[in-house]
Amino acid sequence: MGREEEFVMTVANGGTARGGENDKNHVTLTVVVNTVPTAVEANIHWKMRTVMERAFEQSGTTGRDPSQWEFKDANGALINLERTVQSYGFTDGTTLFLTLAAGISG
Amino acid sequence: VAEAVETRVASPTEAANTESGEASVGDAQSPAPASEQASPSPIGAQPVGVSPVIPPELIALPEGVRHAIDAPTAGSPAAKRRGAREQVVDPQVSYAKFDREVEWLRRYEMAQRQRGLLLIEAAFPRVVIAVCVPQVRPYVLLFGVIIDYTNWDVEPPSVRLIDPFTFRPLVARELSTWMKRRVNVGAPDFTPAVPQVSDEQVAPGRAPAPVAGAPVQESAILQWSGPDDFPFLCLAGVLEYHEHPAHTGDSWWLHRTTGAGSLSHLLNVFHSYAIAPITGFMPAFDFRPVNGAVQIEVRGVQLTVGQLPA
Repeated sequence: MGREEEFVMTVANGGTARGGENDKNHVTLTVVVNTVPTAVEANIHWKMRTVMERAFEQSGTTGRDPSQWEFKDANGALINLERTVQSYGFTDGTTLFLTLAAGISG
Repeated sequence: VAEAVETRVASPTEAANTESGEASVGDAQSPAPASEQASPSPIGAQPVGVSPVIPPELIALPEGVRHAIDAPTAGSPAAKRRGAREQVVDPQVSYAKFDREVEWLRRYEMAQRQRGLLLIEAAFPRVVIAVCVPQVRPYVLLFGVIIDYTNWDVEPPSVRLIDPFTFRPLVARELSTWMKRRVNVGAPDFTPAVPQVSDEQVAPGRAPAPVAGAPVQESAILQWSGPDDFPFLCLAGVLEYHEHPAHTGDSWWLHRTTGAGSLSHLLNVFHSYAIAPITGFMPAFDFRPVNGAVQIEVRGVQLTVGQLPA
């Protein structure tokens, strides 16, 4: 397989190309959408909202508005969707959790 | 700084119980042996310096607790839960889907553990979790939870709060948290300048979005009728919610494919509303005037909470 074939084109958020092992601008995050893990190739300059949308897209999750979900890290801390991947310092293999929020109750 | 104080932690006497609620009731009602009847206080009769060993039959639950366990109000969620659930869905289907839930939990068990959700056991049809607060010292064990996936996922799971040491169901008065949340209640009619909550913001299955200037009040996810009733998780995706007469318009089938009722969903709710808001402890005192002086008595320990989640 040639190097060019290894490129993974990302189209969201203006789109950049990922090229090989030396690419420092991308990380692979494992986002567990409800119970389904999906690997999201994320540009470190993406906002976390974009990572969330990409995770929904890849896992085929539809039917609920994104605002009905909670995005948390492994420690349970809520992730600010307006911050970038870089600002959190996430590295390859970091696991994040997208889980349904409570919704209406009581 | 703590903004609000949750309910008190159950006293050791209230927390103590025997192996099961039913056994406790029977034991508590049975007459004590003659040898014990002879002494008005068998515990007090122990020699000084020796820790008293309390026989299980002498640990009496409060009257209200015994009544709630023995005879919950007819038609109440507690009464429904009391009846044995019968598996009517093909067991292989429910078992396979249950397995999927447990597989997820075991895969991410460490992450859940770090959040304070400890897996006690998982065997079809139920998963038992201990809900703890890892961010305060000493650690707090709030309660245990039995999540019953009988008939999953034709029916949502039943969620019951229990004493994690005995698996006895807890009644409302024994709770150490009500799992409160902030709820946007919209604007009052007499102040038209305050923005209203639109239909879009209260779409089915969705909590109203915060509206600037609109009044906000506290609501509890755990609900019950009286202090001796069994509390239940009043939440879409939970059997007790969908069986409740107030929610006949919100069928489980509107939520079944959305992830509601999954372990992922339920554990996240317990983390967001039971665990995460707790910030520490505060001792509670009673002050009594005695002969011109003030007698201070420690009544117990209260959990303090920070800002409530929406």
